[in-house]
Amino acid sequence: MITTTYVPGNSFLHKTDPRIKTILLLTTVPLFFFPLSITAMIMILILLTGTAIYSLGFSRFLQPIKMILPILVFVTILTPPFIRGGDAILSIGETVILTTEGITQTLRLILRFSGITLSFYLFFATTSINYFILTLNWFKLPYRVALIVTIALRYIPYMITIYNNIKDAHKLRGNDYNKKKLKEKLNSIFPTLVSVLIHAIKLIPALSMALELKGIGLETKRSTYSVIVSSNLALQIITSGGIVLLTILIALFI
Amino acid sequence: MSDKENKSSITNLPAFKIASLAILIAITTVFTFIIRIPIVQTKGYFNFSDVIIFFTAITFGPVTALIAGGIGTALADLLGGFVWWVPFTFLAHGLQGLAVGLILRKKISIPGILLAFAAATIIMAGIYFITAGIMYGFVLAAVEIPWNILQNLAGVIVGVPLAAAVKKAYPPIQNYKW
Repeated sequence: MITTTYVPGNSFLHKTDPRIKTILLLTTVPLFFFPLSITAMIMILILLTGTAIYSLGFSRFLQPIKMILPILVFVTILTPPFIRGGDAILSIGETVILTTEGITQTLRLILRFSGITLSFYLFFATTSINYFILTLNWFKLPYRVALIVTIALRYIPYMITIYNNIKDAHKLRGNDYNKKKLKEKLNSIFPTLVSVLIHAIKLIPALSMALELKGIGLETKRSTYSVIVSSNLALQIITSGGIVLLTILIALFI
Repeated sequence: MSDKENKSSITNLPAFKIASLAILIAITTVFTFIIRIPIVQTKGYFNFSDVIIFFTAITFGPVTALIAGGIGTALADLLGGFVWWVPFTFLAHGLQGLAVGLILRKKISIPGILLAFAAATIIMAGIYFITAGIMYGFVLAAVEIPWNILQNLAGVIVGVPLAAAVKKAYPPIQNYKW
């Protein structure tokens, strides 16, 4: 098993067709790069926050916020002193520390980054990686690329196991991974990396032969992907259209 | 069959290209997402994404490094929860791999390695600086530059000897470049 950001659930966002969610994502994220008013950005963020709490619960909603919190703190501390425009709010002697423009720009950066983070998180927390690939396939991602990514996803847990096994074997032979100096740490991990890579690369001819025998690589497709089936697709399209329209109206007129 | 004919007959197969890309994407994701060295002084981590990108570029060539480096690191961001970075990571590390692969395609030499390091750093750190700057301001984005330079330095210091060690221990890999 590999950990993903997907959170199993039964919310309306989980049930929404991943193709529609992709279009919603592609509409929401670029909006944060337009010169919107602070009020409009706050309203869009409230909309996203409400959707996140309703679909995933409060503790799950906090997860991405906790991840970006250090960046938000640094933005709050570092950005205002570098923006000089607007009226001075705080100054020490003749040095201006804080201006109105500094606060506006900082707020804009915080809202933008939070909005983008939350939009992406909402998409991937309610869309499993299988559906994500099927969606990309529906949007005409080349067959071979989708095949490569699906095979890679299948091998990631296997590679993690191999890495851990080789690391354990090297530990038993006396390799110490807990050395203090960086150079010593790199020296101790180097033989493990060589072993992991050789093991991984030896898989290529075997996998290649298996694919070749199955006829993969020929011009005709040797396998097909599942078709995404959604109930109430028309209703979902109308609702999503309404959300997109509302978001654009907020962006334009507030 | 000569070595050259054998090499081209293997690497020209679409199945070989699919298999090598899939395995290298998986290994790139693992090197980025799982294998990390904690840095006590800064409480940060070194990940091995740049190490595996340098390795892939030298042993498998620029196109493989572009695709495996880009998709592998983007998948690591996706699985690690840093989903907003996915498209930019794909671009930064993919182009980094392509540049290293193109520069070191024919011969590994000290000037070549230095040029590859410079190109990789400018591309990777540059793309991250621009995207981070647009997202949360150029002041904070500038703070990340030294860290990205160090990551690339680790890529050269570990990635180049790693490629040599794997080639020595498993010679058939020399036929896998395409």
